[in-house]
Amino acid sequence: MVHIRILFANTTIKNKLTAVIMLTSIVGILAGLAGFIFWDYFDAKRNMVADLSTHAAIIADNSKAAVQFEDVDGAKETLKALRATPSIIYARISDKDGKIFVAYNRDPNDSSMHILNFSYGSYNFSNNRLNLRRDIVLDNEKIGVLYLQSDLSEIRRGVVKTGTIGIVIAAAVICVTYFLSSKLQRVISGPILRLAQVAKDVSENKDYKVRAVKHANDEIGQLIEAFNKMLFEIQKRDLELLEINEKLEVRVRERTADLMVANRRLEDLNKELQQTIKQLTSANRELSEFAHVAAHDLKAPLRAIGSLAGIIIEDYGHKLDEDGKKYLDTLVRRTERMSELINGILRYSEIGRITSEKESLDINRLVEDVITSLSPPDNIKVSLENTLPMFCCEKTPIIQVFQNLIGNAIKYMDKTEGYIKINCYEQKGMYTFCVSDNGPGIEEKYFGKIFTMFQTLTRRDDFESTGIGLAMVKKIVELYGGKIWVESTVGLGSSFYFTLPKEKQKKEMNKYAKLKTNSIN
Amino acid sequence: MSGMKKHIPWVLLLCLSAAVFAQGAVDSTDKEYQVKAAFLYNFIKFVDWPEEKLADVNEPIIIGIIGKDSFSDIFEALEDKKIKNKMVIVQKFKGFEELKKDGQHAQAELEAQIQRIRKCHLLFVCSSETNSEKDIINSVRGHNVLTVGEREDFMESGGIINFVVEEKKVRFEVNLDACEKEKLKISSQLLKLAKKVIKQKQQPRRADKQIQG
Repeated sequence: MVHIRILFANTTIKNKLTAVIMLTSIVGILAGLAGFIFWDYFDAKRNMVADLSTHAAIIADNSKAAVQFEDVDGAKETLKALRATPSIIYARISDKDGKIFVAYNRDPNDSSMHILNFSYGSYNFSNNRLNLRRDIVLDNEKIGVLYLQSDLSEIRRGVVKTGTIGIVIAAAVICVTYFLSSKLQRVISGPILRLAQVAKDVSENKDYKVRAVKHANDEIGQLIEAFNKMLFEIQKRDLELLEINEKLEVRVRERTADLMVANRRLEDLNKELQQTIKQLTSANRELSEFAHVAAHDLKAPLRAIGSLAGIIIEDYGHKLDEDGKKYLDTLVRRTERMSELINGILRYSEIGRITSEKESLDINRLVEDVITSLSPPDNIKVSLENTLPMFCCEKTPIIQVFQNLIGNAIKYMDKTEGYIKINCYEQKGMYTFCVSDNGPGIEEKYFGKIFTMFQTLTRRDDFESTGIGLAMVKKIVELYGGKIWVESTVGLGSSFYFTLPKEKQKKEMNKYAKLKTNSIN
Repeated sequence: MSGMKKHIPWVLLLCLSAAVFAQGAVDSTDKEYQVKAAFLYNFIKFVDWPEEKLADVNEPIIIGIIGKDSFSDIFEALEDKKIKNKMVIVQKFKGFEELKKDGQHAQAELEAQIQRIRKCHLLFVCSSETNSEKDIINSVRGHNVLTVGEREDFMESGGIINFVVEEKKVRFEVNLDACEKEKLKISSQLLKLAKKVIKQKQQPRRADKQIQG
């Protein structure tokens, strides 16, 4: 079957149809022919048996008297009647004991006794002969047996004749079948081939306006109809697509133009922004410079004022009354305070301006040192909740951060049993540090305000505060890429959180470690 | 097997007669009469009697032998044979010549004898009855008796079948006219075997040949 399929794969439907019809009809015709020849052969054999039986019946009947009266001549005479039937080549009458009574040979020169083998039945076919036996019965008594032997060559001739005629007829029929099938297959293959041609044209030329012509209402007709419908659909879709495409193109063009305009506007904005940033940066720098220079320059006269005030108190103190002394003291305090403020501004402006070398810091020790330096009163307990990480950074700003946060907590503590807790945890590549206390707490509305410069929530006179500390802390944390915020409940305490990026730290650490090892080597 | 046993004597006889034929000769009177006895039996098979003659199934077919016969005891072996589904019996009758010699009761005996032989189906007239041959034939005429003789002019006397010994072979002739008068039908096959068939109107070809031969 596989071979047939391969053979069939590349032939046209026309040839396939013809081949199928021819194959079917040839097989059918040959089977029929074979059947007919076999039937003819068996029929001829059956007829021969019937004929020979008739002969045998007649001969047996006619030879009764001769056998009964043992008249050999009479019996011979009877058997001679067989000459009329040339297919009978041998006949014999035996008496009932099996002894040969009389025999007949078609060929007068042949006097041989043919061997007739009857193991069973009244007739058999052997050695291309038909042997037939019939009892000669007289008055219900078997008086002898008649044997006839017939030649089958006639049958063979008959079969050959039938076969020849059959083959000739079959050949003729096959020719006619071929002629008819090659004509009639067009009924089926024609529309299919035309449809195939149309399909090919469509696929090659992408011309969906073509239509296949429908000839009949059969399945092929339906196929063509469906095909046409499909073509119609495709054509419609094609047109729609074209339309949509055009619309799209227009829209794309419009959008592109819009975008370009927007882009240009953005670029302009960007440029403006950059300009502004530049201006701002330079303004900032100028401001910073100015603040630094101003602070620096203010320091000298202030120191002079302070010194002069000191001299006045020392040298002319006794000449002043109590009010004068009090005012002078106030002047000195205010001068010191101003000096503090100027120092604060200087420190603030120095952040990021003066850079020192980065080093690996053990925050634990650093914080402990800070706590020691702040020397908290006995009623305030300052503790590290967990182990703080190693950190690579400039040392001074970090000290400043902790100093400010812890210092504030100590400074504003209003409880008799105060505590300050410092801890740290890792989150999303950041170290989050927390300094929490049980101090007075901060109202939520001030959460933003406290980180701006010169903002203190208490009166100047209650606490010595410059209002620079937290602003500086915020500046430092943000300089290092971190964030700072506060959570607080009034009366219960507040927690200051700040983050420092970890990755950066690691890199810095590595770099630092390398440097260190290099220097050791 | 019992059937076979019944057949044995019959078979023996046929074999014997066949042997005789095979030799193609009848050497002795004994053998001649063995053959003739077999022939008598076989004739019955090839002759059809009118229905009234065979009406009663239980009645046997009677073979009558009239005169001084030479069959001796051959028929004893054939007793109780059945032909055409009937018993075949052989009855021997005194010849007319002998009865005539008896004197005073001769006429009555003769009449009785005639009644008896008329019942026969086949009547073999021995050569001892040469002189009263015609009387015998006439006395059974019209009673469908197949008369068989063994003398040269038996058929001229109105007999139906006559045995002829020719070249030491037993053969027979048939007088078809006489046969028809007695309403007997002789099988054509039997006629074919006859040496001569007498028929006034038309003679069968086979008989022709025989006559010419």
